[in-house]
This record gives sequence, C-alpha cells and structure tokens, in this order.
Amino acid sequence: MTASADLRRHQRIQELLPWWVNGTLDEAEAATVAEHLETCVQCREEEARCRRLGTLVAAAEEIAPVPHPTHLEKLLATIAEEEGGGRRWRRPVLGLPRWLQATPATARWLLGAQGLAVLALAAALTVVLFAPRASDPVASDAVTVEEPVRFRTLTAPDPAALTSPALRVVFSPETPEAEIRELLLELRAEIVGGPTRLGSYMITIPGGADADPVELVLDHLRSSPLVRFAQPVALGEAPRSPE
Amino acid sequence: MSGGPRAKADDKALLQRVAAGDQRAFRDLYGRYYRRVFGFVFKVLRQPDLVEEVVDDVLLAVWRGAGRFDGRSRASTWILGIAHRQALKAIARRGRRSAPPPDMPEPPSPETPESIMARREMAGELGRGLAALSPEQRAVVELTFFHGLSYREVAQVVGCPVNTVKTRMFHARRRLRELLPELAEEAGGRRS
Repeated sequence: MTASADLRRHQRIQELLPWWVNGTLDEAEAATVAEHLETCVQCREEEARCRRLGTLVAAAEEIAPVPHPTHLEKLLATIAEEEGGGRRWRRPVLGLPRWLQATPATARWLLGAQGLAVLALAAALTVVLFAPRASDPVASDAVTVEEPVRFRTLTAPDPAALTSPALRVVFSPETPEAEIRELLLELRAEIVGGPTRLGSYMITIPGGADADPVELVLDHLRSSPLVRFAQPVALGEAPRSPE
Repeated sequence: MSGGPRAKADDKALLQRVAAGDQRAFRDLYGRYYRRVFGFVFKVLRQPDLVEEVVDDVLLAVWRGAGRFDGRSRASTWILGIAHRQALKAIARRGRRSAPPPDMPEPPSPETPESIMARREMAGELGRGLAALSPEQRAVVELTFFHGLSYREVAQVVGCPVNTVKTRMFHARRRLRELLPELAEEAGGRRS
C-alpha cells in the first residue's frame, strides 16, 4: 500500500511540474512541489527535463505573419455581405436563419456602439415583424444583439417543433455534457426525447426552406468525434419519453 | 505574451464593444490577436494549408459570438478557446486519419520570413516531436509553455476538466521524451 501510495504521490507531483516550471501553481501547490523536490532525486530529474521542454517551446520563433493589409477588409466585407441578407454561410454551424439576417444586424452596423437599448428594441421589433419559427434557440450564440432569453421546458415541447426534422443521436461515452451542449447549441438543435438506456437522444433541428439540409447536419454530426451515431427519424414520430 | 493588466482590461472592453457591433473595436481586436491566433492554430494543426482558413473562421466566430463572452475568463482565454475548437473542427472535417501532415510542406510562393521559419520549425527536432503528438496534446503543451497559462486556464481554453489537461500533458511529455534524446540527456546532474 505504501509503495503504491508513494507512486501516486510521485505521479501527482510530476503531473504538476509543467505548471511549477511556468510559475502558475498557487502557493499551496507550489509549496507541496518544492518540498517534494527537496528530497526526491527522480522528480528533480523530471523537473529538469520539463524545464528543458518548456524552454524549447517558449523559445520558438514567431511564425505568424503580419496579416496582409487587405485581409481585414475582406473579412469585414464577408460579414457585411452575410448580414445584408446575403447568402447563407456554407456550414450549418455558421448558418443564420433568415430572420436574423435582416434589420437588427443592419441597425447594428449603422448604429455602431450607440447603445444596447436601441439594439434590443430593434431586435424586439424584428422578432415581432418577422415571426420567428417555433424552434427558437434557447440562447443563440449567433445573435450578437441583446435578446430576451426564452426557455422551453423539456416536459412541455412545442407541438410545432415536431414538424422540424428530427434526428436520433448517440454520443460517445464519457462525452462531457458541456460538449454535448455546445454541439447542439451550434446546430440550434433541441433535445426533445431521451436519453434512453442505450444513450440515444432525440433532437430536432431547424426546418423550413431556409434551414440547412438534413444531410448536411447529419454529415456534420457524424464527422464529430463526439458522436457515435446519428440518423434521421421520420417526421411526426413521437419523441421517446425519458425512461 | 499578452501585454500588462491594462491591456487585458482593454481586451475585455473591446470584446464587449464588438458584441454591440462596434467595427472599430473589432479592428482593434484583430490587430491585437491575429498573430497570436495564427501561431496557436498553426501549432495545433501543423497543416499550413489549413491555417489561414481556420484563422478566418476564428475571427468570424469572435465577431458573431462576442455577445456570449461573460467576462468571467480573460478575453485571451476565450479567444484561444474558439481557436482551439475551430482547429479541431477543421481536423475532423479533413479526417484525422487522412494524409498525415507533411514533414516538409511545399513552400508557398513567394516565401516570407515567417513561412521559412515555419518550415524550419516543423523540420527541427522539437517540431518533429510535436508532430507525433495529437492535436489536443500539442494544444496543451503550447498553451502551457508558450502562452504561460495555468492548468485551470488551459482547461478553460480546451474546454476539458483539469484532470484531462494534466493527463494529456503527462502523456505528451512522455511521448516527447521518447522522441527527443535532447530532453532526456539534459536531465543528468544539471540544476536549472
């Protein structure tokens, strides 16, 4: 027992060494490491190796170029084009529903830094004028104006949401919830059913003429290392109730 | 790397202004972060032909997502986090097991001092060692030793638990030690 406790102690210290070397450990941890290093030759050697690695990495030459003078202008032109109601970005994670491409963005462009209150008003008016689809994102990460956040509980799904394309997704085991959440938020997806005992979730994605094709979203899901399995589900199929 | 405390506070303010749609603030942020993002994406990807496109994706994501920045982390942590995600997405799109990054990429024409530097780095001993790591491992090594982040900050950037960060670093170091005799030799008797 002592031997393995010892081993764990060495391992814990050695795990901390990179941050001992770069000086970011807090006082307590730094003291623990310092104390251990005083008496342990093996860990001192490891510390020296770690310091050497750190020096090599930190000494790397600057390889990033100064950006080309026109690069920023082209980027800004891309943004302006998107927000002027131009064509949708090609990948689903960057797609903007049509109703976001209109007034609030233009208002933002024109108003500049003039204050969130005005922008919030513009956003609210746009919401009224453009009647957003039922599958509103909970907290859209593509919206850069203030918007009231609306929550829909999983126990009371909007019936209209069932006409959005539905997919069954199984995530890789041990995928942290934060990563699942991130992936689904980017797709404007919502969980409407599951998880089942086998780990399937039923999700819906935005539907309608402006939305990304289901195939594109499926490709995107399947190419993610987080997703083990994704398949479309027949529209109108009732979501599985959680077990 | 990232300027003094005043610069950091300014970066947060810039992000808030970007969230409100301030183009000038975005230009400022671009000037401050372009090279840092480029360098980080390059180190993680090690596929020079992908880097520019990914950097564009990062900048656009910063523009669109600035409203999500809650001010609890540093602006640089948040931006590097986006860069990390976009780099990994690019790798996933290309396919992790498709053609491994070339040891000696085709020189761009015309060559710039930086592209010469990049090729030299990739050909050098450390570069070849890093090439053998996974992108996630490279990210942790780079964030720790080049950007000088604490392990908690690294965890924020890569969006993983702290223990995952420590484990990744541990395995990365072990792998590098196997590949870089220089590291192993230096250890004997030398006090830093």
